[in-house]
Amino acid sequence: MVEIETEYYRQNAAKAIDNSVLQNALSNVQDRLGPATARMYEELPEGPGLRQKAHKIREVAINHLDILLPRLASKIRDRGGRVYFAKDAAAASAYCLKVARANQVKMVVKGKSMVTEEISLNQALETQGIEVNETDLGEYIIQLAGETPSHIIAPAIHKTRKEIAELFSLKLGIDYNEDPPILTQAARKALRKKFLEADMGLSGCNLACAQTGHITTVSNEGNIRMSTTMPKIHMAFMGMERVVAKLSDHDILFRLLSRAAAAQNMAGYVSYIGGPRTKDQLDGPDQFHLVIIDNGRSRILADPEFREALYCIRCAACLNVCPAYGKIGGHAYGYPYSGPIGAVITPLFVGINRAKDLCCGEPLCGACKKACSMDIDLPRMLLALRAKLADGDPGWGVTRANPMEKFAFRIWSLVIKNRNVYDLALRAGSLFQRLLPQKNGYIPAIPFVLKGWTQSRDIKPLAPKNFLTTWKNRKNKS
Amino acid sequence: MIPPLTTETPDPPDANEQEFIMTLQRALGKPVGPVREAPTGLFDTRPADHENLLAAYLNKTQTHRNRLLDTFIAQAGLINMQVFPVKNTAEAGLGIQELIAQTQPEWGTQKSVTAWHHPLIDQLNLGERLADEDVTLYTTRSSTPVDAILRQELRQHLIQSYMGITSADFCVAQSATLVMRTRPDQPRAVSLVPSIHVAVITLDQIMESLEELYFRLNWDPKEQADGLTNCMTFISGPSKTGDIELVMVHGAHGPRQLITYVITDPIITPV
Repeated sequence: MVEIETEYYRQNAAKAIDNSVLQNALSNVQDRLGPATARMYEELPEGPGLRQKAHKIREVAINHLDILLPRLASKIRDRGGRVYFAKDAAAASAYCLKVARANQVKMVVKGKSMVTEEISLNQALETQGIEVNETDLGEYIIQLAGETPSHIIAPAIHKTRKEIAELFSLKLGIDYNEDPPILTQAARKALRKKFLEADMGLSGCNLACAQTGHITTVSNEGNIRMSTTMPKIHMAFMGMERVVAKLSDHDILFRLLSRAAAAQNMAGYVSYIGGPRTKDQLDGPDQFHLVIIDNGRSRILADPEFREALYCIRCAACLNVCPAYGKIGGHAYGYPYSGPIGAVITPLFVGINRAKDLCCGEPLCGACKKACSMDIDLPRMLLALRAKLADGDPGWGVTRANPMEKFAFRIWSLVIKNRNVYDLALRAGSLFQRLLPQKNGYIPAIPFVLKGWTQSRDIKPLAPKNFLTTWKNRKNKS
Repeated sequence: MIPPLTTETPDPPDANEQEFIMTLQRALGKPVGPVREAPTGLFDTRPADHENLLAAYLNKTQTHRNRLLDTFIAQAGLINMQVFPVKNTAEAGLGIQELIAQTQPEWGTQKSVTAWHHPLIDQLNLGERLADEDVTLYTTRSSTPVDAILRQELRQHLIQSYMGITSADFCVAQSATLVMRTRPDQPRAVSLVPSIHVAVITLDQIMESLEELYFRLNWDPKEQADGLTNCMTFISGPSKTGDIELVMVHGAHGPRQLITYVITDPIITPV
């Protein structure tokens, strides 16, 4: 199973902030992609408002999943494809293994797919002795390094060309060279052999079309086309939400996806795949399988408060603008989905208590909502998750993250409702703070029950005279 | 040998699938039961004035077509894709002949080229043009059904080829996107495996936008007949990656170069 490390968010985030190489890499990706995408939204003939139309398209699709998915499946079956509905990660991996075993698959090539990270497909295949080759250059780099992706669309963004040069000279036996074209060529050469020898190609699915019965795959490198064309079997994996109803919906969605993901007018390659090779076709796979995965999504679907999270098409635009992601990087989130969207869906997938720091770590600044190609209200859902942590929620199995917090706020609400008690508390506070050391006009640490407050920030001391007293004195003088 | 799955025996929805769909119905707060009919308007419905719209798309003025070519060239320039307008197939054929003379294979030394068997590509007379050169030309011809030997032959030629020559179904000017559907004589890997991809299209194949493309696919009777096929591919520029420090590199796994010839004179198809 995928290693869930959401509990170590604080430690991992602290480590990331101290890593100057990572800080440079993150600034690079955010400085370049964030503003470029915003500019491209502005330059759309319809303007950034097009995202609201996309939102509506996704809303309709999600509200009709019970009709769209059977239609997609039946159209693909009519062309000779196989469709498997997997209720969870284990079922999806088991299906893949079953097909692999039946066809004596020894080696697979794989296009980048977040859902296969989510279900830990690579591990499942590798434990059965099947060689798995990631073929997206970024994924290939991190696979060679034995790491996990740190960005949804630029998975190796945390690695410098120096590190990659060292890695390639070690693993591919080439001369040390930091030049990106030479490194890319080395990977091209090594992977070309794999594409031609692989028994099975695996891919994700960007957006399926129920009307025509096709999945689509999107890439710039051409690795997904290779993985889905050259081997005898193609198996695609899709989260059950990645479908839209109409063919014409793809106009708006692909224009937005390309701009949001990589500031392009159009991604380099988009393929509509609807079945295996027909008898009279010269190439393409003999078998096509589509695995449609629930794995916790139906639970999100059932909750109107979070259903909107399923509109996401994983463009990663929110990662490229988020101040929290920009400082802590993808690995701190402890799960394949990082950034603002990860902070919303990871708690819903792995448990809200277990991933509580993810939604509390996001600053609620609203940048993600503005960047979201599907205009998803991520800050609203982050707040909703925090509310569940504060109050508990039996529906989602959430226990109060901090029972003391609720108690403290109850006391606080009593205090502020009574003028005399409030003034008394202020006076007690200003006496108490004299005992605390100050630094640059701030108190860096409060002891006892309030110490959490100053764990990651300093606090301004209470003013010697409060505002109301100053105001009264002013009035009396004039 | 993997037994190919045939269209005669589609899997029926099983209990597992029914349970999956019922879970969705419950989650959506809908009555649980058999899959319901799609409500009207869920899928694309033919607009009332579709005939006029289609006519407008199909009968563009010459000025409009030239403007679209300019847009295509400008957009292609942004994504490292070369576009050469030529008058006729003879000029295109000559252009390709010269291109072959000027370029070198990426793997190995033998110059091998694979070309689609396609009405437009056939008119380039590449066989005659390359007869005196040290160039191997392979043309993709299908048979029904295709046997394993023919497929293996194509595969070997493609692996050896440094140039793949195709046409396209459409070209979307606004994003410089070539749209190709897989057909028996037109395998998809010709635009993928060789290092250089050359596409030859005609001026009237250039359309304005994705909106026009999806409209034509939906409502042009000619396109409806083919549908999207089992594999429709959009190609915008050569293969590229930015995975190392966001530095743009061309030729990640697909072609390193993409060159398009646009034939501007009307094509006279031989009877």
